[in-house]
Amino acid sequence: MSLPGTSILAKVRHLPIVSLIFRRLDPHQKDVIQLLKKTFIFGELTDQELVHLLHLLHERTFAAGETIFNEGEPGFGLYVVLRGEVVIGKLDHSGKGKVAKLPPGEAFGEVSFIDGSGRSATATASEKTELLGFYHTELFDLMKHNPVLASKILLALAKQMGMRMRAMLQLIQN
Amino acid sequence: MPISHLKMLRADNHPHQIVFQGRRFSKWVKLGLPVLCLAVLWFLYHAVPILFSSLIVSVGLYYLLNPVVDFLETHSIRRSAGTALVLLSLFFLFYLVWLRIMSFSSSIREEVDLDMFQKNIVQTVEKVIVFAEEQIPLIQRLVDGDPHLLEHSAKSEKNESHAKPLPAPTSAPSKRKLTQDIESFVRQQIMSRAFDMAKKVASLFANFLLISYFTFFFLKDGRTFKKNLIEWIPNRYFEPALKFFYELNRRMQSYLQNMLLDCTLVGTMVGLGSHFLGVPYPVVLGLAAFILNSMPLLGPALYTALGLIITIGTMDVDKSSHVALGYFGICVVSRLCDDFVFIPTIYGRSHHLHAVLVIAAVLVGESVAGAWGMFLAIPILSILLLGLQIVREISAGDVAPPLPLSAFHPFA
Repeated sequence: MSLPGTSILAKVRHLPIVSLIFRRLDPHQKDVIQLLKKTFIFGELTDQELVHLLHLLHERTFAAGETIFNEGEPGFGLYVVLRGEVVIGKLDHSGKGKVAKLPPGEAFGEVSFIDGSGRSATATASEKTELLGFYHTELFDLMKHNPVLASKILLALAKQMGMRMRAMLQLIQN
Repeated sequence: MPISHLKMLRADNHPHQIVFQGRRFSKWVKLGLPVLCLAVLWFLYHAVPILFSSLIVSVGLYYLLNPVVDFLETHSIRRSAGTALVLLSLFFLFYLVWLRIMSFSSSIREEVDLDMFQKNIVQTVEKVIVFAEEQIPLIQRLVDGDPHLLEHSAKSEKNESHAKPLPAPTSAPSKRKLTQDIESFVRQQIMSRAFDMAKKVASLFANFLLISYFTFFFLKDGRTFKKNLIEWIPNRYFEPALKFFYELNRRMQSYLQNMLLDCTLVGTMVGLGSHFLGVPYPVVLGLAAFILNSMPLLGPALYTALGLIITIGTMDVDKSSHVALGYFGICVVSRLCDDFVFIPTIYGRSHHLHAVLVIAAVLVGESVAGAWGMFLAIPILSILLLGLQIVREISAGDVAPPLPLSAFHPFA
């Protein structure tokens, strides 16, 4: 339920002259924001922060079978699956392949995003896939211009890393 | 999914094709796009020079003012409003400086009498020649036609077939002719340049309008322009390209900040030197050197000429010749310091370029595209080296080193 003032404000914002001052989001941008809210890393950001983040994200389209990145390749991007499906593959010591499928809303590539090291696995688009790329050059810009937002993103990444580390420790203990 | 399927997916990427937005393009795109960019720049430089110069100045202003607009944006001021505010403040600042210059120029015009200037410059040139003759014995001997020197010159001419002959001794009538020539030259120049000046003022006004227009939109929509431009890069080269643009941005910003520092140093040298020599209006001359120093070749010539005109036009002939010579010396020394100390150290350090490479680039730039070539030599060299570094990283397939910590610095 919306507050009574909110609907009036919404009506005012749709007036021709006022709409020139306020920026309105197109349906695609609204979809992207809804998707970002579902991700672990960007899920805790406010609407205003997500709108700001939209300027920094790059939409990339990959053909079916196209490699997004190879294991060991240099990279500094974090990706969120917008549409389609991504397959993450890694060979273990015995030469067996481990595969994970990522549906829309899932993020990958966080490790290289943080430390700029080589990719730890190979990512491939299994069908025509649209991704949202967030790169650490953009994070540097964000640190300069909006440190609060940058800190929130980094904190979310640190939380995710911490959770993975706990899971790994538990796996070793078991 | 079985690992064999995964390998098949990887093999599906044809090595000679670039995939962009889900569509495959042949490799010519990789070669074609940079060539097209260079061709467009070359066309602009030759066909529409006013557009080229306005674009370059606007890009420079964008890099200088963008941090201010970004700062305002972080303090909840809309980008368009912030841009308008910054540009209006800049125009106001220019207007204040213009008023100050006008008040100075009117007082200078009151003091500088053109007839007196024309008379003085002839006498000053005579005095400078006399001074040089007294101070440098070689010139004195050449002027007097020293028989030993001429004999030595004749011998060396015989020995070296390519040696240039010594200049003919200058006699008193030829000295008079020289001073008459200078007088008529100055009179002719003042008259003939009036029309050219009017044309240049009109061109400057057009430039001013274009620069304001471009700068406003670069500041307001620069981020979107850049993003749309980067979107065209194929997936395979996207991350290195993004790194390239980021580093390019950082270097351009630091280049312009270094230029400000360089101009401040030269302006201070000229201003302080003029003050200690007793040249009238040292603050104006320092300010002129600060503003004009960013224009290669023409700038230093302009502030030198301005100082000489003020000195010769306002002071007594006896005093002005020595002061004018001193001021000329200051301009030469500041120019030498700028070319061989400030530019190589300040720009070289920020762009990780060797001092010799910087001087060589400036000279090559001058021979290729004149003043603009000199102005753009260092950024272009820096961009080329950065591009090579990125290409080497891609070809080697090594792990890219993380960006330097300086990237976090607000003024980096």
